[in-house]
Amino acid sequence: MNGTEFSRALRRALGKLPSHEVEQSVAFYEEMIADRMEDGMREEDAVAALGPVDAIAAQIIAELPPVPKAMAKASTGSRALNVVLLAALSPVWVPLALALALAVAGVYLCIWLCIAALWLTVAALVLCAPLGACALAWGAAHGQAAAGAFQMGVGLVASGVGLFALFGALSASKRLAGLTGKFGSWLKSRFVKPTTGTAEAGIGAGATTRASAMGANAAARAGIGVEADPRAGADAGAASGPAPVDAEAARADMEAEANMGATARAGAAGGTVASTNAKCRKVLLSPARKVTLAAAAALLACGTALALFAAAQAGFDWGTLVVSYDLSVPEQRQQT
Amino acid sequence: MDAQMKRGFLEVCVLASIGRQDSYGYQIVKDVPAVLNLTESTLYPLLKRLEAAGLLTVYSVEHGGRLRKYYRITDAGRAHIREFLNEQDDVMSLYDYVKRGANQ
Repeated sequence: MNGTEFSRALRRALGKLPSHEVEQSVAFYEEMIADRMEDGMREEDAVAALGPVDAIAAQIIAELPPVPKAMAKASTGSRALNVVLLAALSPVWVPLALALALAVAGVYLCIWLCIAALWLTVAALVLCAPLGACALAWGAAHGQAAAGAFQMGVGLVASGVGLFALFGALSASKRLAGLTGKFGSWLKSRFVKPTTGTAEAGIGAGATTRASAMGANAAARAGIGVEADPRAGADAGAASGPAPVDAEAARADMEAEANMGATARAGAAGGTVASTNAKCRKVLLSPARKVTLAAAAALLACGTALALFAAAQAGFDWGTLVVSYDLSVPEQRQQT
Repeated sequence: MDAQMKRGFLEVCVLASIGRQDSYGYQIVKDVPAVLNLTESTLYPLLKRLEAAGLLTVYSVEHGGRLRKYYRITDAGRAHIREFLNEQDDVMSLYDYVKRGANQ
């Protein structure tokens, strides 16, 4: 076989791979042939020295992410046949592909709806204060000041709870948003190989050098965790190299059954674990948060006091205190 | 050599070969110790992995009317080699352990 035939055979064997992958591979081997010929070999011997084309193609395909790999394996030799098969089997794969796409959309929708629900709850709780104020105004205007005051008190308490819940909603939203990020990266990794500089590939390389399956598993899990956290990813990718991350990888495997968050922290360079915790504490006690916390506590205290005072004034008669409101239009009310 | 052992040494040997001086594909194949039986089909995915991990960079140089790809080691790559060498004592102690077992 000469060089041109080899290139053609390799291109055919690589079938449905993305064209830049094919061209890169073919260029590499053509360069090898040229270098060998420069060394004095004949073209046929240079090509023969590379080994069988199928073995080379198999090696290249084996390194691909799952989806391109499956596509390459399913590909027949001829482009025409591929197209015909694809068209003929479309009643099978098109609905499947649609279903998968809908499933993916469903996952995203679920996560975002959770976030929306959290914030709606917080908003509803916080809105109880103005509502309580309205109740007080109405009660005062209609001679039911005690009821109005009681409901204002309850409203203030609810508002305070809402402000406390704000922190929970914030951190939960961040985690959920992080989940979408992780899900997105995982999806992407099914199609495309991780790019230069991410810790995931770096850990992978280190783990295979150790030839340890356990290390590779830990590395994969740690890699996902690190990739999702940009801060940790930047730290791991810095000049310190894969060394500290590898040390953590073994430990990460033991914690592998713990939640993703723990794995992410274990996967980060050891030094950032303490600093991440410190950062959390700093953020928690920032001025804005201190003010909100104080406001929430104040609302709770005042609200409880007011409600109890009003209830006491009404002699704890719940019938008077819990008034039902006639929200009909004034003209209609006058007619009845 | 045992396949698992080979895997353990291949990456770092390729890095070491590039570490001495920027090298190209065929040069690396000739450079790396013969006992590892390094072939092109093994080298190609290995180089891609190392590049994706940021342990080496690639650049092209014109050579005799064609483009030749040269590989250059990065700081991360050198750190990787240092880390491998740091394990030498551990590896030697493992060999001692096996030797003692063989003598009994």
